[in-house]
Amino acid sequence: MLAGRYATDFTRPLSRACFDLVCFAARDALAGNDPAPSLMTMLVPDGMAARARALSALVGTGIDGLLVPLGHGAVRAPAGPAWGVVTASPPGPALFQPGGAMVESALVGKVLRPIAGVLRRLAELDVTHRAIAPANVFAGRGSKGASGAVLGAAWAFPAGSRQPPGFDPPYMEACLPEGRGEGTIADDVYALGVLLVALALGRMPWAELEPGELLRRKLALGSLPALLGEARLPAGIAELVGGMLAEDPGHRPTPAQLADAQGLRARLVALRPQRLAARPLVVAQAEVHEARGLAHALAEHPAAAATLLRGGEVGAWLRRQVGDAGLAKRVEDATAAFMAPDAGAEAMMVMRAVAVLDPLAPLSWRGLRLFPDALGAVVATATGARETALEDLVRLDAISAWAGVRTARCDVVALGREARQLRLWHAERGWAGGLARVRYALLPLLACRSPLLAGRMVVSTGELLEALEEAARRARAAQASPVDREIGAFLAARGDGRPEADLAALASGGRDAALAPLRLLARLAPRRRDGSGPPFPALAAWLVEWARPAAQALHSRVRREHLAARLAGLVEAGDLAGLLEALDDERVRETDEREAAGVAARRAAIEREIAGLVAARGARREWARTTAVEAVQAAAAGAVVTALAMVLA
Amino acid sequence: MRAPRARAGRRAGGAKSAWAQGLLLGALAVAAPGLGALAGVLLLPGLLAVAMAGPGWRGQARAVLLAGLALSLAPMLAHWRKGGGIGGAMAALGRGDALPRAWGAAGLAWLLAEGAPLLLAAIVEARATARLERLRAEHAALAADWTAPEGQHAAHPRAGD
Repeated sequence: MLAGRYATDFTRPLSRACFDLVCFAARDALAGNDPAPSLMTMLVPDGMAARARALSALVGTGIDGLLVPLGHGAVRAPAGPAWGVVTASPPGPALFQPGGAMVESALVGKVLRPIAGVLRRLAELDVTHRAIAPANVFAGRGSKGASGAVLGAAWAFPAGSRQPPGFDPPYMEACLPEGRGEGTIADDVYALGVLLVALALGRMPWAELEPGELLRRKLALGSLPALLGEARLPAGIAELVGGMLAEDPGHRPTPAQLADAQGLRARLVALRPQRLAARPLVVAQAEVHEARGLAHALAEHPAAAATLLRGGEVGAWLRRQVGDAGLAKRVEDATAAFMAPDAGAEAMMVMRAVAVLDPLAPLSWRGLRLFPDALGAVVATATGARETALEDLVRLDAISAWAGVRTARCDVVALGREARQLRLWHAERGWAGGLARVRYALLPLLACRSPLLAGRMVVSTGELLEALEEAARRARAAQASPVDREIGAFLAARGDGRPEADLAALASGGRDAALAPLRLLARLAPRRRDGSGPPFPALAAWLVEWARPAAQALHSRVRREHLAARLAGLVEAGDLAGLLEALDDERVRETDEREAAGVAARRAAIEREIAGLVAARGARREWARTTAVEAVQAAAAGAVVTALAMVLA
Repeated sequence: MRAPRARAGRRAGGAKSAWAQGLLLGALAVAAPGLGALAGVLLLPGLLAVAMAGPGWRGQARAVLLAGLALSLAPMLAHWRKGGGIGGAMAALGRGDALPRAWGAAGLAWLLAEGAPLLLAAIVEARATARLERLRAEHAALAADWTAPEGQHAAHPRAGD
């Protein structure tokens, strides 16, 4: 039962209900026999996390024309445990049907106005949708019965990661799918504009282009010409979407303005065309003709970019061919301090050059492009070399540097603060740090990835003990710690208190490692003096087994035997807090150490005395002989004196 | 070098002592031949012991000589008071129990000087052995009840290993 009321029917899968996500029919157990609307549970793809902020803002709200999340939680799907998000099922087929072009009045009345209303409500809640695409906008009816478009769900995958080519602005489209981030409501307006183009034409002319080619065209020609190609829109629609597809999100109309088409048309901003170069610059065999195209090419080919920047060719080209000496100077100033032949400096140089050339561009780091708010989702899916690049991104504070170059486009102070926090998390010693800590800290709904918890979705520390108790009951490796690297990072990110010292001890081994798992997990266990709270006997046995070196560290055999007897009782009761109290008693340890030191001194003294006694055997014999002979001699002398006295008397 | 020189010194000292003793006895034999003969016979075991004693046996030899002397004083003084010559000394030796007593005392002293060290050594060794046993038992009990404070705890394996 999800969120305490939604039951998922895993025998009824739903296809194409939300992009490629696995969805099943669901029902509201509280609705009883009421004709409740049909519901579905969509499963968050493996390794990804649901959008925590959007879910937190939207669960419990009702937004007409949007499949809002009704609840979310762990489910046991046929393929294994997963995180499920419940929404209403799509009310009808996808609105976009190939070949079915819509007229302007229908577009405005049934698509633009309803979706603009939804976006306005989302903007009020400070949430974006980021999945406005032909497959996710359905034909349906609003609560007032009027037919109109219904926006599908976008809560069970990273923001923007399911956007098909063309539906994101160029600066988003250049990113990794998981790296697009929450964006702004202006990015939803852009996607709505592209959707209007597709609906107006009844087709998507750009679908035949390679994604990279479409992006290059968007950068060179602007979004609308790139999307249309040879196709032509009705004048009214072209005028409407022209503003929605503005390259600068600040130039796009707000959802409120979209509701007023007249006002919208009056607001259209005439964009300044880009300066084109007299001769192109070749970056890794690709020709670029303008600054934004150059930024894209440099971000795409960082090695070639570094060579061009170090050689001064970028500045020279901007001055001579583009005629923008100011931009050339800014690029040179931004990169001058990073010319050292060092991988970190090189990545920083390219990143800063791209940010200066195109302030709208995402953070470009060694070929990866992402927005900082999507770092968690990117880290969650990263492996191998990408992980290394992301480690450097965090360690070298690239986010602060990026924000510092494009101050007009972001909140430098807030981003700098977040970047410092990321660096601190990453730099923590042992298992409290690293990318795993960053991942769990940035994605509150990402389940713990420990192999020990296979079969369970553990998202909060409150669920961890129960899952570990289940793991302890299964066959487990004798030498395995109940807290592994993933659980360590999970506890550091989501737990209370300061587990860093215990996690560092656990990572490095040594004497403190024996008690570290117990200290970490006992914090999560409520005290059970009154017998309340769930017992964890199997986990307790596991922890005691791991803590055996600590139990054996007592020098006194009697104390060890008493402790073993006490531990046996606590294990049976499954009392983790009691176990910690018994094993981690500083007073007992100090007394034991003190007494043991005294015993050691006594043993050393005994050994010395034994050695002395053994070594003095010869001396004793000599003493006995000398003493005895002297005594006999003295007795004889005494006899002489006595005899003399008697004779003379 | 020091040990041989010390041994040579001790030998020289022994030779001087023997010489002095010989001189003393010679003087006694000239001045009072009867008394000298009597003393020589009565003290013969002790004199022989002193003459033959090695470096480690002088104490015993002295004890033998002193014990013989203690039981020889009375007959020697009696002979001196009588002013007898060698004949008187021989008569004194043949008469009574002076000779057995003097030699018996010397023999007893010899036995004591030989036996007492063995007895004393046995007593001292027994006490030392008892002390050793007590110490070893205490050590074993401490070893059984207490592990050594350092070095017995191997580091815990890394949890991830």
